[in-house]
Amino acid sequence: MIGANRLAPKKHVKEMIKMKRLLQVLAILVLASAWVVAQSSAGTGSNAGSSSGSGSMSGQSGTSNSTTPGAQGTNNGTSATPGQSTNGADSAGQTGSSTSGNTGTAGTSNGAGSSSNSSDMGGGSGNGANANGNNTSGNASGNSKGGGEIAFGTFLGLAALWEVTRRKKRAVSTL
Amino acid sequence: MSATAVHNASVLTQSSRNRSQSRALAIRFTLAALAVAVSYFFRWELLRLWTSEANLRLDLLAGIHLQRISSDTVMWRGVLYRYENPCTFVDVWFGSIPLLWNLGRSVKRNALFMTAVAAGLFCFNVFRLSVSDVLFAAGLPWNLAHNVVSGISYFVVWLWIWTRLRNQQSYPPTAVPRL
Repeated sequence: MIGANRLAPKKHVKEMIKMKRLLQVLAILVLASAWVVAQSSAGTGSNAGSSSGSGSMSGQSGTSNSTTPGAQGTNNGTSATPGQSTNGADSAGQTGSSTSGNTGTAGTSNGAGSSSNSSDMGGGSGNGANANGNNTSGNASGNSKGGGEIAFGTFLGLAALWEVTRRKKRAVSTL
Repeated sequence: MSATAVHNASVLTQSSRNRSQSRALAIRFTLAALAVAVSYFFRWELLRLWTSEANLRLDLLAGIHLQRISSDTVMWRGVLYRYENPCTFVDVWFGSIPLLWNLGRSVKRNALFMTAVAAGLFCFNVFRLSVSDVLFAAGLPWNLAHNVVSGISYFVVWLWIWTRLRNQQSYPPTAVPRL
């Protein structure tokens, strides 16, 4: 009877420790997934009127409303609706569409391409022609100062390493 | 017999306290995830400008001359760099509110503390941006210089938050919050 009483709380404590560990993993996962979702939505959020980086654009300029980060060759720059030019000037009439993706070729766009990839986005590029989705054909290529998948992977890796080290330490201290 | 009963009672009390702590943690983390999501509902234009400006000035001290293109875009050696929400650490700050909020303290004290955290995170963020810029200027690839450094920075902040959270749980809040 006494033995059973002693065993019961021990089992309970073990369960609690297990639950705590599970909770830690869950916490990291929840935060990480929230972060990933937030990161991916950050790209689309910064689209509208985001061709502000195109200081070197001459003449015909427009806004590219690109989305779809990472999608190759699709819709990385449907551009140049005249009224949406952030530069305001000289965006008369000439519309075009650049349909180049990361690997594709640039269309003949009169607007400035601006891709908003969460990983390798760019503020905007082009000389009024050949706006590329990932900004390789314009005057400037772009980088985001945001984190991206590699930052996320680094964070997760370090968190896992930290957790393993903690567990090892705990195991040693209980011995 | 009585000693065992006392022992068992204390263990059970502790385990029920652990359970309530775990529940509180779960709520905090859920709120943190929600807070991070909420932070992305806004564009934080002013914060982007401040961050980029501070980064620009700190880089200048390190001999890196960034050229401002717009409020959230700078150029360096013909490459454009855009400051987005994650670059301002605003998501980190939002996520840290539910985790750092001390229920044993008054709202005013918590608000003051979170303001201090915001200031600290701002400085830390600008520092890590400049560090990554220096590394990039030294010839490291962007992924290593910026993204890996970002990951390490997130982890450092996480460690700090976790340590505070643990300390907070070691000293449970008083029954009546001080006002």
